[in-house]
Amino acid sequence: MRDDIIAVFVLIFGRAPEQFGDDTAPANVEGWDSVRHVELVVALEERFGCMFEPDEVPELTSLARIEDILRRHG
Amino acid sequence: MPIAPLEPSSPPAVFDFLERHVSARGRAHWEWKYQLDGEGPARAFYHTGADGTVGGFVGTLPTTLHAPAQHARAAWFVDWATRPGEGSVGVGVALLRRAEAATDVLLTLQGSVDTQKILPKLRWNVVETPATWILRVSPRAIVTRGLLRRHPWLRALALLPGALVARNRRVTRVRSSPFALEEVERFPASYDARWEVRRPEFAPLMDRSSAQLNFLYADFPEGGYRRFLVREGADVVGHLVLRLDRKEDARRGRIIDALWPRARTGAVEWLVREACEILQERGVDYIECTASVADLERALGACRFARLRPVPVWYHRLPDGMATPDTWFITYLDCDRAYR
Repeated sequence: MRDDIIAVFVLIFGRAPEQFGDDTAPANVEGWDSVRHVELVVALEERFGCMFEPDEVPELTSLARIEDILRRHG
Repeated sequence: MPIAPLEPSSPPAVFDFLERHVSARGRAHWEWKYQLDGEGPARAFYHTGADGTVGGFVGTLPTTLHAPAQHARAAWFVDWATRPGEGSVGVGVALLRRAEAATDVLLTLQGSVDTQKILPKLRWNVVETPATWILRVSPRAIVTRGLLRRHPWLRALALLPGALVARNRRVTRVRSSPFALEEVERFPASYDARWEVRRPEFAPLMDRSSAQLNFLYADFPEGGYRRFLVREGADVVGHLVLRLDRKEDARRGRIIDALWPRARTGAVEWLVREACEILQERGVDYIECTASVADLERALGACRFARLRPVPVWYHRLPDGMATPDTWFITYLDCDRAYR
């Protein structure tokens, strides 16, 4: 799952996969603003075939949290 | 829960957020707009971070979308704001989804620059059928345009020809008509029977019951609206709502909303001319109207209104079989555009 999430990050932020890790967060990824976050949410939903709950959307701000939430969606 | 409905007991920080990041209107405005003294479903939601900071707000104007063969719960989202900074990333989308979960059809008109960037990424669609129409009626409004706006000395020179144009442009009443306007403080409950008759003539359109019209135009705390019943003899056959206010030092008149016997030849042009005459008598500099249907547009054109700009309608999901918004009857009533 982690590789698939990183693939989405590569697509959205246009950086090499090795640049994304546990410390990936809006504060240390250039361009991760509100608009880019929308693109990230939609791309994750399309990739994993799920729909995030409203309360989950602002929580999708690190690879670990994204992985946790996606696992809850099965 | 980080997302909560706006209630009278919501923390003062939420109302501070509204004043600072949405519009400095005062608490009475928010209590009216989101019906905080009512018992209906929540109309607005806010997000609170782990430290108690308000991160964002979304407010809706619930209504009902009536189509010829069906109706659906609908809501315009009318205020949507997040606290600037990376701590609020994702809050806006979360709030939008919360608002969407509370209705069947969620829409917005126009949208800010940010809204126009974000909604397409969320697969929202847009139509640009409605448009704002304008009639400049005072010499000042006629000459305060383009080059003349930038050069005051040219404006002074242009005032005389402007006065001639204004005289020529003044909208006059229809000399003889079976219809008449009656100004009212509130729309009576009996108007609902007429609304039921008019509804299929104008569908698809949003709710124009007496309760909705009074909420929007009689109970609005800052006032400024004038409300009329359209009469034909003893019968009520429609309604008209006008608004007067000031914008950028000019007196602005607006034709906010109207329904009329749609099959009756000349009824809509009579109504537009009456509206213009009432506003002209009050000394407005210009008159605006939002229109989306051909008969109203023709009547505006006959009174020399010019199409100023489109008013995009953004929408996401629609019930099966529901016509798209390019066919809807839309005026200033829709969304909350009238008092801005």
